[in-house]
Amino acid sequence: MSGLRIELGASDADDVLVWFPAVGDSVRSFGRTALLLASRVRGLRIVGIDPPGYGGGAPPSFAELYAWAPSEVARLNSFRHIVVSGNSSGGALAAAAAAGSRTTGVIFVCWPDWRFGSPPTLEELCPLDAAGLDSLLTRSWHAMSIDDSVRERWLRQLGSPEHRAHVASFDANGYAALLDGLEVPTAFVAGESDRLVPPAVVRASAEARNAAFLILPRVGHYPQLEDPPSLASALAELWLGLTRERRS
Amino acid sequence: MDASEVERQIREYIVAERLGGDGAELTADTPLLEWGVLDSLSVVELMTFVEQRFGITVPPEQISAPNLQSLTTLSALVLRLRG
Repeated sequence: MSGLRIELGASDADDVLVWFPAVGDSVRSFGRTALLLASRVRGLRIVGIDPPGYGGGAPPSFAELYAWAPSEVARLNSFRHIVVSGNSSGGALAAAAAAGSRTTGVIFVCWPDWRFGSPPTLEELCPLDAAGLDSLLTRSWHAMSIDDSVRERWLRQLGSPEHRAHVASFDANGYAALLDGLEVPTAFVAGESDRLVPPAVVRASAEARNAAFLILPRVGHYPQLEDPPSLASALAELWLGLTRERRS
Repeated sequence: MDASEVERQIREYIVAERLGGDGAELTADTPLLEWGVLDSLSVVELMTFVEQRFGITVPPEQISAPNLQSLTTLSALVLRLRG
């Protein structure tokens, strides 16, 4: 039922890191980070999964994806340690996966516990015109490096009725309940220049859970696009921290 | 210049420019477009590099997904255009 899948790293690995992309994005944008992570952490399998409708098409509701995500992770049950991660709203899918399957930990990238801040509105996340897209990009990138054709694609995709319905289906209370139900350790990454999901909100989320927290300099909301080497280093460090206790 | 040398030079460029110098996991068959190793901006820069490095002109119609699919298809494109 899912779309594009990236799999690399040791095929006989004991451990796996699973990545879910954000609304409007695709696991395609995680490729460079995945290559770097696989070369830096020997013995780690990396699996990036596009939810249905991501990367093109019509995504179902978050409630449906909350049921989909654990079923995808359950297919990886042969691994000893399973760490799930996601960028932005992909973090909500990671939380759902961790709540509904056997996992070792969760790494939230630019995604907080929204009880410490206000989530972006539907109008902010799904712009209908160029001015709205400019506003979104200005808030979410440290320094934009996308061309006109990509801008047009984002506007077409994010502004589509299917994506607006998907984003509108996000329920902050349901997500909070998912977080409250998590029994595995968590870690948080924030982008220093992220004005869509402010680092202070991510930091507060981490402190409330006594979780590890890293902030990436000169990065906005999409570190996998803006600075793959820094994100790969952060994921490697946090993965090691989340699994260290289980290894000893 | 044979295919492996062309591939090595293109690989070196992509590792330096797109992977921060760390390309241990980049293989000849890694899907460059599908995995976002190359995007629309970096394709333009890569074409400039191959034209200058290998002394060729890449016609616009050859800048296509099948030719940009992997290091293998990229080096085959360069060798075809070198004649």
